[in-house]
Amino acid sequence: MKVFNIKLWIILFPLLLATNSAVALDSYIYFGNAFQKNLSCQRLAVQFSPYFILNADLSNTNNYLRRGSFVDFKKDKIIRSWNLVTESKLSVAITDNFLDTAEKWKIKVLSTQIDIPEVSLINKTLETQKTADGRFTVHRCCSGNSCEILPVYKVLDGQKQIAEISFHPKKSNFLKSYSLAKGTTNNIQSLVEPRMMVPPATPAHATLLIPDSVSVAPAAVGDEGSEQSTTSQIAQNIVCTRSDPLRIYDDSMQTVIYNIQRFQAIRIFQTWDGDREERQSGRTTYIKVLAHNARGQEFVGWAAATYIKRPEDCPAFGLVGSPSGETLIEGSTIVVDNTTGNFRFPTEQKPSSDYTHGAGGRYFGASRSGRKHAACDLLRPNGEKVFAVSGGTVLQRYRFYEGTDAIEVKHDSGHVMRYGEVSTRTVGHSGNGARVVKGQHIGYISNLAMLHFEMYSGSGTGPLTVRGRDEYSRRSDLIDPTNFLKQWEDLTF
Amino acid sequence: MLHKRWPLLFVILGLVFFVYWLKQKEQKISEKHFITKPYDQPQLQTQSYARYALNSKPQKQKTIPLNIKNIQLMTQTLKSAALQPSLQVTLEQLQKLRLQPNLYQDSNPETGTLSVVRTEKPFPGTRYFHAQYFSSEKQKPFLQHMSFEIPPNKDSLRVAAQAIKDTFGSLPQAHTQTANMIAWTWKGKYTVWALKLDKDSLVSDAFNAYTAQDEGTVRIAIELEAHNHVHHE
Repeated sequence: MKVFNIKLWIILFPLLLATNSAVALDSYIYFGNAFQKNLSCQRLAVQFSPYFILNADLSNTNNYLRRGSFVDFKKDKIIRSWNLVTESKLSVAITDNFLDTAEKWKIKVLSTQIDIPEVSLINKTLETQKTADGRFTVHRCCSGNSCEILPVYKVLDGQKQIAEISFHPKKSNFLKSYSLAKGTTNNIQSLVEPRMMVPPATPAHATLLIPDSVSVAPAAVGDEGSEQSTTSQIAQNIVCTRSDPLRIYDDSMQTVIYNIQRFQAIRIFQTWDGDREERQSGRTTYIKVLAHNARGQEFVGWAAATYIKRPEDCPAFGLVGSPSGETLIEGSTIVVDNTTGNFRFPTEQKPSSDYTHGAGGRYFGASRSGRKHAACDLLRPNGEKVFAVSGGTVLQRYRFYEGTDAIEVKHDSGHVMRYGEVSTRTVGHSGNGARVVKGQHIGYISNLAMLHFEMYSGSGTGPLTVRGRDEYSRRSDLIDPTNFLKQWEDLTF
Repeated sequence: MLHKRWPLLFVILGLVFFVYWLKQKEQKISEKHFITKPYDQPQLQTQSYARYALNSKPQKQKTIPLNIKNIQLMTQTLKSAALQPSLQVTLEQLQKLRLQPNLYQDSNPETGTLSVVRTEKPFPGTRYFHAQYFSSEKQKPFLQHMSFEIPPNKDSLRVAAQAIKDTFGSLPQAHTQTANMIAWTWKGKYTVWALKLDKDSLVSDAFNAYTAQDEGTVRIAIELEAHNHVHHE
């Protein structure tokens, strides 16, 4: 038979392989849980390049995907997780409006995945109330002046589960973290008001942002030590355990040198030979890590690789998110600030050189090659402290210039300040979004021996550096900080 | 008739084994990331690593040879990224190098989005790749910083400087040249530098993990000129 001719097979075989490859490329996307399968994006495009990019315009849809949500790409048998890269295109499901102190707080629902008018939560405020065991449970839904009992629940695989949002105020007065806990289906009937119940015929009905994999025992939050932090540490991996701290072992793998709390930032060592430092103990892979405690002490040892993830890959962390203005930077000190007014000078002592005018080009507007200087340089010795000029919130911090960092703070006055050319190791284990107060130690003068201080009115948005925009190459709301600094200098020294 | 089909059976069997071999090979590649280094029975020693990594006495440092070819290749990556400042292209390039790039993003309504790219795996002979892009709704991502590090070695700074010179071509005279640092302005808007990291720099670093043995590591970086070198003259 001609069909069994070996020459024919020689021709057919590569074709078959090619066909097989084509099938492999016909990949598909699936989402992490039952609700997300019902997503209806207005536009959804997947580019099958070596690097998978999901472009999804979710505007005007009732999805709860947000930054930190993850999407699984399944190609052949390899599943890869990647966070959604375009945050601006995603609807943020919930914002944390801590209107009150730790005693009482509210959250506002901006969107839900599926909005059913009868039980819609959109634009409603959930109010919390302290429970006997010290946790706070969302159980009231307020619209206008009236509040009604409403449980927060989700449906998973056809079963409704109570979701309890709770947090533990710990020893401090500041909100540290909150987490989710699943209730049992048996409790639902008694907790749900009949008119709020989903009709049986209604398909999966999601309400709040509850990633599927979250399963935290309520007690765990309260059990955690005081060193836990809710970091939103950029570009660092975090401990992503279910509830327990992660043990860091010494070289012997017999001694625990540090218990690092859930969600704390942790750094992974890389080797020079193209890998990370790993070792196997039993079935567990351990990697070499560096962790800090709240006092900034360093611990180097070995931790189970499974529990170290990017924040985006840790669904539970997405619920904690950035500290929203109530968390002080950890390991930081606040100087006893007897100065009057809402501001102080950002350095320990007066600058050693004139920053208002004159030689050296330290002043705002000084000539630079092709542009003008956008800051005042406050010269001080390497290692001296840099302070927040006023209360505010850390926006971002990043590598800035020749081995130094910058830290951006949105102050309560509305101004945005960039504290440039500093070392931010003080905030090295705390996150953006952290709250600072006037006089708080936020960094050190670096080896460039100055604080490069930029000031913005806060009326603009977007990155502070805008190359080529004008002679300063800065955002349009850049202002001259000279007179402000002079005033604060007089107040402080 | 059966004897005439023997060749066919061989072909089919051959195909089956070939496909099986291909699958195995593919699986080995995909599992490569999880290959661990051999670790014997738990050791009894307990003092190999100091608890306070950077405050401990540096152990006797063994010299790590420099992989000049790879250093040059990574330096070329910095140049390419600056010439075509696209976050996606950078990610694709790192993916092609099988470095498993991770993208970390942090946004706020005031100053937009900071996208940091780091790699799961280092390129052999280098480590701690780090890139920062800024963007906002109105502004496309632009490269603000990109760097990697090479091992501490008496020749590290010299090799780094040479790699920069070879890669970036006709550079003007270095605007900073000290025992620990050399820096040039490139294309008027970037600064390219190599810096030997001392203990302070290691302690100050907010992203990487170091021990005292890493003193002398050299970082090679390209940055958007943020401040201007005239300050340091």
